[in-house]
Amino acid sequence: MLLLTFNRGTLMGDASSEVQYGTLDLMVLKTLDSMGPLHGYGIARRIEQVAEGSLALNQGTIYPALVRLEAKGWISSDWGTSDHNRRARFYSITRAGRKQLAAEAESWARTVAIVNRLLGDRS
Amino acid sequence: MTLRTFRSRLWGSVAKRNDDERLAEEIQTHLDLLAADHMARGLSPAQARTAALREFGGVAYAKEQSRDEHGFPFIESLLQDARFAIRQLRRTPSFALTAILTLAVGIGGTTAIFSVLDVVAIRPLSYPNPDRLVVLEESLPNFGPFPVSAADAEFWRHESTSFSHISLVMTMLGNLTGQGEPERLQIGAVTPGLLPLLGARPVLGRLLLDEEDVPGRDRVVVLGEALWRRRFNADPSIVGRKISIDGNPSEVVGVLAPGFHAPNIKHLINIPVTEMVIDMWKPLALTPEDRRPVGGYSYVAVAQLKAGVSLIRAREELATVQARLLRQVSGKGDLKTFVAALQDQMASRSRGSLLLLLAAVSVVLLIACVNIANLQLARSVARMKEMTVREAIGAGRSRIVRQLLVENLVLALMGGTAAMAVAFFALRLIVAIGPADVPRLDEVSLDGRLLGFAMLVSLASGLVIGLVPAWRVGRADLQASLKGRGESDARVSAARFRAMLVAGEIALSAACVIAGALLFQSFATLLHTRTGFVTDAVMTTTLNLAGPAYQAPQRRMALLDAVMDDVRGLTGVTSVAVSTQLPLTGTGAMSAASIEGGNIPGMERPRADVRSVTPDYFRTMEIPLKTGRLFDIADRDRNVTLLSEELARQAWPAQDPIGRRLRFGVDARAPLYEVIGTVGDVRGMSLDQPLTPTAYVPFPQRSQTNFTLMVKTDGDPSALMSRVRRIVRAHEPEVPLGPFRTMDDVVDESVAPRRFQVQLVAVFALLTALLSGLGVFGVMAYSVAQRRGEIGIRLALGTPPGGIIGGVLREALRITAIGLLMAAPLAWIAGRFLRSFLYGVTPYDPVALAWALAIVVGTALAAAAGPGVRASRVDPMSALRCE
Repeated sequence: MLLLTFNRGTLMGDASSEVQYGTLDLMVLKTLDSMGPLHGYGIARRIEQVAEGSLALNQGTIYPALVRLEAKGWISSDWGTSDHNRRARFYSITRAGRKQLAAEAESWARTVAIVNRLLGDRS
Repeated sequence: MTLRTFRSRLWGSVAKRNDDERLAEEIQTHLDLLAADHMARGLSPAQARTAALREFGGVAYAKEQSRDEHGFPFIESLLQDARFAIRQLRRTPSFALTAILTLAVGIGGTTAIFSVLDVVAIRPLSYPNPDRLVVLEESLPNFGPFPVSAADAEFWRHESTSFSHISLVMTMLGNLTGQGEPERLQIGAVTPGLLPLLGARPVLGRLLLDEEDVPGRDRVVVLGEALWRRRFNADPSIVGRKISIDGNPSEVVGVLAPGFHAPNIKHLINIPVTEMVIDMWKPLALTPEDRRPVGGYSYVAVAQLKAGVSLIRAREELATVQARLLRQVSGKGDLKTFVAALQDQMASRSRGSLLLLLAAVSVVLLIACVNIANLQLARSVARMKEMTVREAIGAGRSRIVRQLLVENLVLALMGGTAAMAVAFFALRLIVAIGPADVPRLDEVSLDGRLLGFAMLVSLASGLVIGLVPAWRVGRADLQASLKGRGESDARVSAARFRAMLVAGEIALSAACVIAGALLFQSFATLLHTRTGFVTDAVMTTTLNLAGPAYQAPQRRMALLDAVMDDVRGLTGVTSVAVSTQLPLTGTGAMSAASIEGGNIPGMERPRADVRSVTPDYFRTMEIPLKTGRLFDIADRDRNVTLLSEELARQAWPAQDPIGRRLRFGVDARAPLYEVIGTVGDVRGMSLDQPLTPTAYVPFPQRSQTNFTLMVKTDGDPSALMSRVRRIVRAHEPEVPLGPFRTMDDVVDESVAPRRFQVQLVAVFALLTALLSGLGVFGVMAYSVAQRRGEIGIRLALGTPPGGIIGGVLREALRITAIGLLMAAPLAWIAGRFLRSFLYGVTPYDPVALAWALAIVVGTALAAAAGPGVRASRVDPMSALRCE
């Protein structure tokens, strides 16, 4: 079970925090990219679905990530109406966000390839 | 962090409330949707809500995390700590006030002294290219460095390649007459290039020209700004007017702009001279006589290094040039050259003294900080419960420690702000009463740099104060304190630690008090030095008889005779005399004493301070006659001389000098003087210099225009002032009279710099004693309060109150003893450093050490007395009940 945790007492964002926050950020970006604009609950639900139970995610942890992503300009937000006619804040990915997503995906792929090669060599 | 995120955080810190509300709304929606989901699956509303909350995780936590993405959480928590600190301080105003005042005094004093040091020694001079300005001097193996001769400087100008400019300056006196009260002015006679070299600019007219630097064309002057304002009422039409100097008309060609501070000649040469602030400038206009190869060594040489030439290279190069000069001209012996940077030369005498003061005041500040740290430590022990609760609700240990540090930083910054006011007044005080021995004192002012320095010192103080309790708290077992267990342990170990801190304070204070006592003892010894003459009841004043009316020495003599006769007739006057120079006001005319038939090379002959005196001089100053006879009236025209014992010993060792003859100077054509007696030695130059070999000749031989009139009375000398003035005026209304001073005043003035230093150090030393006494008081009071139960039991069992007091005093003595032990190496180091300031005492002088010991121990005992008496008055019953 991959338990996502966060450091307490975050300082202003720096490189070392990207390593831990990066995973959740990436998932949020991907979700918005494929699903289009969603509100917070929707994003959390979707991530849970995709992970098929292998993620124990405290849904509340979405919100700091959303604030962070918006600060970086990778997503944008606006008020809208959800099904059930509730007023909710909807988030959508921006162009910069899409670029970031592509870059992250590429970097993941490279990492996976290297690890595979390493593991492949040993066997 | 990118620019975008920074901007976003910045916006976030501003728009906080909106964001908070928005987030709350968002989260609420999220929870509602979650609950709706659960209800759709069949749970009841209440169950659905609980499940939703569980799935969501901590709401407060999510909000907190999101909030941290906005703004600058670190800075915001610091501000929070600061606000809390201020609230805490307001709740204990007496502590806050004491601490802030103590810090203000310590930081303010340090800043004031540092600012003086900065101007004197650190800040570059306010002249153009200050690092290229140097002073040139000459020296002999056993004498010097001293001012240069004009011929030598001329040679250097032609032959040396290291200097783009060599200027000479000499100070002289001149009488300003013709308008109102005649006044004696200090005149700087300079090579015209000196003024522009030092960046002087005219605010009216122009500066001096090279073509005016010739005898005959040199009756031009440039006024200093202060003189122009004071004496000529800042008259804008002064340029072109003629003023009367020494009876001769001189044309004013310019006025200097304000802000020009000529280097005080007194600080440029190592021979003590009287105070000289230059009122006006005129061309040097050397005569051929002045330019003789063995002319007088009377000129201060200020030069500018050529660009790219280093001081070391210039030194070497000038030495080679000098060697060439010595080969060409004989009789100069082993005359060497000396090159020093102008700023160094000006600062050298006061630098050491200022460093001493800085060290002393820093110790005051340090002890003040330790005192406050001690108090904070006591308070932090009392706040253990608060710390524990903080930890319980989630503060990390580092956060708690940080909060303590911030508290102390806030305290220190408040102290630092108050210190500005203290520094301002302290500076005014120093500039006002500080002796003019400190150069550039008029440039001292409080400016941005010093404010920055003060802030830095404040921050450092805050850290010093805060580290101690922070360290203790950082290591403490807070949980235990909440349960009530560890509290007494914490208190005991804190108490021991505080006692150690106080011992440290006592060590520092003891070192300071010892330094103060040594300086004090040294000063007292100085004042009791045998001067060789008697100073009470002698009134002195100076006259400058210049001008065409007094060119002939007989005219001068006639006036002085008339004045002396009249003054002798005043009631209460026992004797009157005239001399060319007062003792302790600098050197007279130094000459080589060339004995008849001697063959010692010129530069190695004994140096004599030649003074011209009337016969009653010795009676007036009570200088004893040792052998032979004193002058009488008939000797006025005879070439006779009286030698001081030291000079006689140097000139004719182990022989009777009476009847022998000598010349003054190295010119073999100078007249021979016959020795008719020897008199007691005096300290001619200053109290801390050895006895001066002096030669006396009958007045008016070898005298110029400046004299001192001495009047001895059997009553109060100051009562004579107005009467003497009237007599002089009656005979000559146009002669300026110098200030009237008693000989006691003269002695006082000659030691004024030293006295100032001793006073300041003594003040600081007593401050440190006071502060460490406060520390002892605090620790003892605390200890007594802690041990009330034990004291109560003792009293109940029959210990007399005196015994209790004794116990408290003994404890205080123990701490003091530890402090004194720690002080020993510090005092040793201080003693080494002080050696150059001490006169007549060693750094281990027993009297001074005894006094210091008495002060330190006495303060500790006095401080402990209060708590001791309080302890003895403890009511056993109530003490036991409280336990």
